[in-house]
Amino acid sequence: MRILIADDEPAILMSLDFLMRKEGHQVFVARDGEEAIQLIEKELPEVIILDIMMPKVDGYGVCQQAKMLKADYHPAVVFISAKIADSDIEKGYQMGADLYIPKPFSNRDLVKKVHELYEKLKN
Amino acid sequence: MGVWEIAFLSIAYLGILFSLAFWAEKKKAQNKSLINNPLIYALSLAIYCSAWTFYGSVGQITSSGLSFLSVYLGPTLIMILAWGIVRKIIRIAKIHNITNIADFISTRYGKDSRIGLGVTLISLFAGIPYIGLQIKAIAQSFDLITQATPSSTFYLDPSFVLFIALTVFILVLGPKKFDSSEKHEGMIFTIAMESIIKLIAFIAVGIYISIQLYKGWQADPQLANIQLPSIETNGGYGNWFIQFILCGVAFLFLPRVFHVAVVEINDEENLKQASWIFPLYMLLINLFVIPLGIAGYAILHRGGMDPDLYVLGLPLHFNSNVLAFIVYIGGFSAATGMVIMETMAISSMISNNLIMPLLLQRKGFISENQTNLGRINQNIRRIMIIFIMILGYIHYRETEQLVNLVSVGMTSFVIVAQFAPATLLGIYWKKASRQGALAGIFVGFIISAALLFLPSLGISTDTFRIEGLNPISNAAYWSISFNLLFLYGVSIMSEQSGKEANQSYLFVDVFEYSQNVENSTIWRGKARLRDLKLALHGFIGKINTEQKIKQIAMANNISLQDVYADPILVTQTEKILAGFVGSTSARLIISSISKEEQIGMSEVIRLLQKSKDLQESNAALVKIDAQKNDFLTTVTHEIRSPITSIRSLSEIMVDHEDISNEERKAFLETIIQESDRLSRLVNQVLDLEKLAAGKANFNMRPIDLAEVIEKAMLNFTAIAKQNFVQISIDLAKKRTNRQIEGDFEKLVQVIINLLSNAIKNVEPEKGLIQVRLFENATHLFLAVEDNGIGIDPKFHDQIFEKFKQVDNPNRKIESSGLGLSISKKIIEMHHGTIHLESSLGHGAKFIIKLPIHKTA
Repeated sequence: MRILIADDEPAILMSLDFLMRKEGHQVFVARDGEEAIQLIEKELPEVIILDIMMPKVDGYGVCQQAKMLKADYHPAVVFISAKIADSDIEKGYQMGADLYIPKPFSNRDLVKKVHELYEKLKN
Repeated sequence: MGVWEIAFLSIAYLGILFSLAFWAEKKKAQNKSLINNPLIYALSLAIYCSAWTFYGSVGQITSSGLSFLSVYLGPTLIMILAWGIVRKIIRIAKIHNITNIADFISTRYGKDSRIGLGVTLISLFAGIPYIGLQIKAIAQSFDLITQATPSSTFYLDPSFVLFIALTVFILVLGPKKFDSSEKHEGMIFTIAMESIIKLIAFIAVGIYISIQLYKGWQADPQLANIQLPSIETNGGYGNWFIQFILCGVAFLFLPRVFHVAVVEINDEENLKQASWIFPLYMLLINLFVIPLGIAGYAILHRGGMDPDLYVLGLPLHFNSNVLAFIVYIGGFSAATGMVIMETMAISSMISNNLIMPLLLQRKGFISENQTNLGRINQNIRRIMIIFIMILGYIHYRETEQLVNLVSVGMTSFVIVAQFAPATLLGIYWKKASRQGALAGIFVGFIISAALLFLPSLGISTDTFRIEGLNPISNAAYWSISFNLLFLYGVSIMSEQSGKEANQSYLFVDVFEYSQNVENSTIWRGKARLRDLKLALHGFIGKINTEQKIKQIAMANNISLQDVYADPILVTQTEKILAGFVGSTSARLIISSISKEEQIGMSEVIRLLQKSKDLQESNAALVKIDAQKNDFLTTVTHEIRSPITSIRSLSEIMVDHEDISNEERKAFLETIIQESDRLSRLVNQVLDLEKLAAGKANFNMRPIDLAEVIEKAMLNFTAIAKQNFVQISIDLAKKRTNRQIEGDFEKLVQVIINLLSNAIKNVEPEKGLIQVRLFENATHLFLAVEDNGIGIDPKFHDQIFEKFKQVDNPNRKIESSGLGLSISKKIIEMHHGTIHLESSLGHGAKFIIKLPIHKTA
């Protein structure tokens, strides 16, 4: 599957990029919201993994633009964030996320959940 | 006009007032209070202006000239000072649930029942003639307007029917059983309306007569020569001054004025506006006294009419029946308003301080009537109202021809003024004692009564007559002087009991303690919850009792499970009861159901102080707690990012043994970097906390700022190169001999913080950072300027706060958000300042200013 990862933490980007490529996916990475939107418009990834607090455009903004991009484009959006209060998580889902994973996360857990989500949305 | 016509209209007027009262009560029930505003409050204070004002001022001007003005200027002065004195009295009364002047004074002096009783009897003594006077005004004006001849048999007297109607009116509107103790929304509203009516009536007749007077002067210039007595011909300024002070102090202690001013006020703020509205009212109602006096004297004097009736006689003379009726209703309003409030206030005093204590002290009375006390209290008050009204009526019948309005009024004032020293000293001087108050009031009362009444019994008091003073001023002078002297002398000689001393603190320092007094308890003892509830049932009903107890328990976090009630509950119950039956009776009821332990003075003060301190430190803690919470949330959030990377990369290396060496190396380097970031963050948090707590060690010595910059650059040149950023250093004054006093390492840290900040803000390869050092006579300046994205001025204030990172594209390379707040703290410890000059797109320039070391 095609997957976009956006985070302003280079180290996190580095590890997720490696992880997803090892799983056999095609990966695009972005270091801020603007770059993420450009890549989404160009590549139309099936899964989008977003940090929330990013420069230029935050994760919420990227999520909304992605969901409204085209009528026949329905990407799965996953937030990964250090905002972990219940209210933050609730807000994440309200802003259109399909999954909200608090930082720090376990790689296996993340990969498993993203797969489940992808399978669910495909059916 | 016909007798029955006027009688009917008068009763109809009472009926209208009654519906207004009913309406106001209904509004109140809908939570739309009509009286909780400064205008209505000020108008209700105008209850001070009784029939004496309405009819008597004009009478007085014809006999003693302008001295009538002192009656209005005294209260004006008090109201202008109201925010100080009256507000204090109001606050005290509210806290202790005090509902009349007798309760006020007795509560101040250790809830002494003798003082309460004394004040009650003196008020009654002063009040009866005053009420009689109002009845007289009603009767005389009635007789004049209807041309009826008063009958010698009272029940055949036409004005008697008005007396009965008025009594019924008071009984219906007055004492209530289930209500918030002494608030009478409807009654206050009608009083305010009556104040408007009497003002309109007086101004109407004033304007009309002034016009007539002017016409008269034009027709007969001789009229302009009429001479009225002036101040000088009647004792001069000595009298005037004493009466001015007398009216000022007596004003507040008249039972009716105390009631409307202190007990019925809903919001202290109303005082502010009332302190000019009320004096304005006084001015307006006195505006036409002089023309009316002159006209009355010119026209009616020869006919032998009582000068007190000129106001009504004049429109009748000019055959203006409508105006005469308006004047009659105005006077009726003035008189009824006074009678209503005065009987209410005095009846509550008698009930609280005389009858209820007598009943409550009877063995078995409380236990037999536990749930009936409210009704009993209400009925006693009703009976007392009837009793006072009858006494007033008898006084009017028996002394009908003897006195004029003003002299009776002034006599009452002198007597009531005896409450002033004990009250006013009592709220400002803690040493004022019960013995002193008793002595002062007693001596003052005896002297005033002797000087005022002995002459009318044929006993001369001329030996004590100060030359130039009239009998009223003379009596006021001697009685108040001795009252003060005894209060002061006995107070400094006598020892206060613990209870008294408690109360003196609570009164004098009311603004300091008010919140705590309301919530705290200075009572220790045991009372069963069941008994407390029973005591309340009788006054506020079963349902309200349960609600009230629950409310208090919730507010104070008290358990209701125990058989014995919490002391707070006992204190609060006593306070509620005091609102109904006064402090003396409330104390009797409570002590009948509880065992009390005395608490010493020092303990009371300690308790109060403790609760005050607790309250203050609690507020401070809540604030600090909120800040700490914020800080913690942000710190944990900042920590999460490096931990996430470290965990994720480590897991990869555990799970994927097949990764290349280059990848493994890159991952490990990143892990090390992120660990560094983490430890830097932890160190910074600790640094900041140390600085904030003042625990950081500063090794202060004279240092050269140029050396500080060089040391910082030593660490930084490599980083700058790595990021392709150019740094230019301009130390024009590099070899200045000017030094500052500071901690070398900490200042290096500040400069590193500023430089890393600048590196984050510039674009790689285009970035230029300039460091400059310059000075003026007193300070050295260090500027770090970059050509980066800049910072919007609206964020400048926040930028030095913890974790405030203003969004910009290149941020967060190594930022924790703490660097600037740490730098600011360090610079402040050097008695310097740091500020930012920047706007979006034009780079940022941080300037540090440090004082030059003196000896250098």
